Amino acid sequence: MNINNFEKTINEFKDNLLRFAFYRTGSYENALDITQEVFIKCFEKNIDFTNLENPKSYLYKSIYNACIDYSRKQKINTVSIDKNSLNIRSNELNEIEISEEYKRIDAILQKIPDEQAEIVRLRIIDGLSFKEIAKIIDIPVATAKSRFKYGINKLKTFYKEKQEV
Amino acid sequence: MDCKKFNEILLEIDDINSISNEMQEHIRKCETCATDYKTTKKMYDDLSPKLEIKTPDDYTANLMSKIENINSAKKTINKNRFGFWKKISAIAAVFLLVFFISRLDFNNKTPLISSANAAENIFMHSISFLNNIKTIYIKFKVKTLPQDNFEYLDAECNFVEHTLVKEFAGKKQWKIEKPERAVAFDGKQKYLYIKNVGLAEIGSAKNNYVDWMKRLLNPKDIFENELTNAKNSKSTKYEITEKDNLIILNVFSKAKGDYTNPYLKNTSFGDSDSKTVYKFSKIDTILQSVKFYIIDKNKENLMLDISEIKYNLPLSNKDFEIKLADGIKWHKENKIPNDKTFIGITSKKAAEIFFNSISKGDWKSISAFYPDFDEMSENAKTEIINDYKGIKIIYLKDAFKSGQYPGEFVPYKIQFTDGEIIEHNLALRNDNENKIWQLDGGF
Repeated sequence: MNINNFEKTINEFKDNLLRFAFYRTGSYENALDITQEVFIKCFEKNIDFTNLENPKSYLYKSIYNACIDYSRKQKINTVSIDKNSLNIRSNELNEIEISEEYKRIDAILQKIPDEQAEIVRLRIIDGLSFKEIAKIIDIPVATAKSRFKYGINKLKTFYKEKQEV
Repeated sequence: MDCKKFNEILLEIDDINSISNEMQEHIRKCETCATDYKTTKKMYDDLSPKLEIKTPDDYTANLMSKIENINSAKKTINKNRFGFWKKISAIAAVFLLVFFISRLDFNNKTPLISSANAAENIFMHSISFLNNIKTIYIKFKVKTLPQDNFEYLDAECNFVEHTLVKEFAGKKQWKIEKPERAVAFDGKQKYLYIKNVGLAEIGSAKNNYVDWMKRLLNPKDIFENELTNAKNSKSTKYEITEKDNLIILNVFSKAKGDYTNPYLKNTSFGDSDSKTVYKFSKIDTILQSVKFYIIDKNKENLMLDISEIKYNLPLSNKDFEIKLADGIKWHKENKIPNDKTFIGITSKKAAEIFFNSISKGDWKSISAFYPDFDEMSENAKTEIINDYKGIKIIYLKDAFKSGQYPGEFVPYKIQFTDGEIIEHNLALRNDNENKIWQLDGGF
């Protein structure tokens, strides 16, 4: 495996993967740890990204699994995380701002079932296609689309009710 | 464009702020969709992150430093291991080199031999070595789906990491594992775990849960099979080359089966025109790695890559256990039921009964046809019931057979309540003791 290519892959995906992990765990610090661990595991497994057909899907899937493991370890729900556990540390980001950002989006997604919120998060926050989402969470593309549809429609109803009020 | 089409496209659109002229035209005329679009835009905006979450400046440097450390440690370990094997192999080397030089026809540094006889010699040596191993550990990757059966191959899929462990003495336990599916044998019973649907089944020792992978559990059988082919098959071709410390044997085989209907062609190990590349250490003919390529339209697609094989590693009972997710428990497999609804009819009729029942949300009456449903987790069941309730059959076509599959495939096209249409083939088989049609795989 070529170390330079490995480094190139890290630089290409690190920020997107961090964001992906952050909005699943609610913790900047843990998201950083998760992305680092995934890259290290890939290296230990001799994963050659240049040989993979779709390194993006592979990495997202790895982060997705690592976040599930993280949630199990924390014994908290993958989506409805304990807000007190927010533990943000970054030199460049304002801790309060980033905490508020997570809470703001999570508060909206709390209104729909977890499995639908999951797809909405992957589609809107991470900008992934339905095909990519289906591969990452191992469901048929049709199921990914229908969960997204149900989730969005439920949220839309909520928005409309709010407007009426 | 009507409202239904507008809403369908809106859900699939990548950039909510940039809709087509046709859609703009529609919202000019339709007040409901215009309001709906406005609400959707607001909702997408609220859900979009306003802050950029970025890694710290020193992220890559720190990570690469850790990776460099691991790399150095790896090199040291490999060096030591080589020293160990060098000592072990020293005596055998003299014999084996003499044996090979006398049997293979090479007379330069990198010979190319297209001879079944030379391949036979290599296979015999491997069989002899594998007859005496105590344990094996194989790490490999396959282009497949993480949850699908162990036979399934798909060039469109990413590589999925697998591991296999087996002991050849004692209880003869083994385990094959990939991210969403694992099968183990404890010497008495087999265990199947499909993580994404929460299925954890204990079956009898006779159950074949691993399909083609059972060959990897008995690597000696692979070479016995290859040996028989080398002796009898005229369609199998061989190339032998030598590079560095390795003997590289390429085996070109044709798919075995009836492909009048080519549906299964190149979708599994047995149903493929293939090239298998075996690499053996030159000094002792021990198998080091295997690559399996499907050859489709003269293009080679790497489907299986065995990168690491360790022989005689000390293994404990724990190495053969499957770890279940929280809340999942093992249960005994359902016995083959004797439901007359699915006996003595065509596979097409069985498929029709199946689709009509799930459309009504009635999964109980088809439990004999699809026993796996009862074993799924409650969440998976609810999801599947909701997804398929109200579906309409657009067509069911006459069943066909393909390749080596013992069952039949029924082509179908169905429409979901949201208008989405899918068409695929339903795999059914009735090669069980009660001759009852059962669903084999997904739908």
